[in-house]
Amino acid sequence: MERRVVITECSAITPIGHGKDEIVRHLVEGISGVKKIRKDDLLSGFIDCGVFGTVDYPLDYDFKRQHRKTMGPVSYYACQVAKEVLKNSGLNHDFITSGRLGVAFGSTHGSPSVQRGIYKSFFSKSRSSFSKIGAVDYLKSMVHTTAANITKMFGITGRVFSSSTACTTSSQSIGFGSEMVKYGMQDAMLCGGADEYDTTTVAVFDNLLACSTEFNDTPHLTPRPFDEQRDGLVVGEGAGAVLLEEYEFAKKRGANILGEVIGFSCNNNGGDLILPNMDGITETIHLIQIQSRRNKPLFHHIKGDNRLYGTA
Amino acid sequence: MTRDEIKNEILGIFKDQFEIENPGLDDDLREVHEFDSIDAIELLGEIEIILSSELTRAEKKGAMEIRTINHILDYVESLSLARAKG
Repeated sequence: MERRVVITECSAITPIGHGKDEIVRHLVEGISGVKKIRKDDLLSGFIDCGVFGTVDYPLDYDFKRQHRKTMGPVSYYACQVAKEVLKNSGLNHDFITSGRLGVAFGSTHGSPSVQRGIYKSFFSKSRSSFSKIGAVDYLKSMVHTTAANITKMFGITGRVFSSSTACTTSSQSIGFGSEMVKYGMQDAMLCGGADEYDTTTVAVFDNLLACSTEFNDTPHLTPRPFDEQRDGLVVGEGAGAVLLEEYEFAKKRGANILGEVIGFSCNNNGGDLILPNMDGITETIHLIQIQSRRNKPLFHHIKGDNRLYGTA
Repeated sequence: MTRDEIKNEILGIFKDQFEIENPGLDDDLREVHEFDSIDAIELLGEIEIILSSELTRAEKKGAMEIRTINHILDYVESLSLARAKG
């Protein structure tokens, strides 16, 4: 019998709020979290895009030094939402550390703010500056820093993987995480993604002509996908996490089932990395139709810039 | 440096950098204070500052068996003496 995958818990830190209730309320009220980009001494003067999805409210982290020491800003976000999800899930410590729970969590490129410091030292051509690169700097900055820190903080011993696919990082985490549960490799997966505030991320997408630039003086009006005046994406910070569980396992323990992942598909154009072609999009839709056994799939994620990533 | 001076420096580092206050000199740092290999590498950087001298790769590897504050004091004392002898 095919294993079903259900969503039983979620949390997020976003520019429009922290936690499901606040985020939904602000969505309904039309509150934007996009602000003017902060001036920095490196890139902000050269970037056409002048906006950033900003988390500008205080967050009360309560992490022990043993956990903080390997965390850059991106991992603070990731570990906080992971902590909230696990706490609210009711899963006990024995299960969390049993190897039956895995983690699929990523970020665009780890912690760019920590990477800045590392590369500054590399290019200083100074032995003493080079020596100041600490043992923890790589652990704070690496691409899989969010997943690694989550496993460390909660003693999770199951499978771990960390996607790093820019805008689709979290979707891919959820999709591949659902396959882990569906095919019996894990009974539950903690899935999601995080990113921190840094202008290097904006600069990269700005140079690809992907960023919004027409609303620099009215940041609350962008991004606006599917709108006639849409002019590109807005880079933001924050984190989101969901807990996926095998249906029977979740039902047996009385978990609150929020939804079900009935299929997942992704593929590749095999060509242009920036502008997807219709063949790739069509094939993804075809695959998700087969997966979900539906003629008209409900797409979790249709990106406003024509990229499609299907989790039904 | 005297052993007492080294001890004061090391205990200060443990308090400020590792948030470990007044550890027993013979406590197993890993077992009692969750002091792990990452901390050990960080501590070596601090010891270089105390000694005003870079540690060789061999000297650093020699620190990996350290388990207690007293071991650390022995280690730093021997490095200090070696450098004093030139």
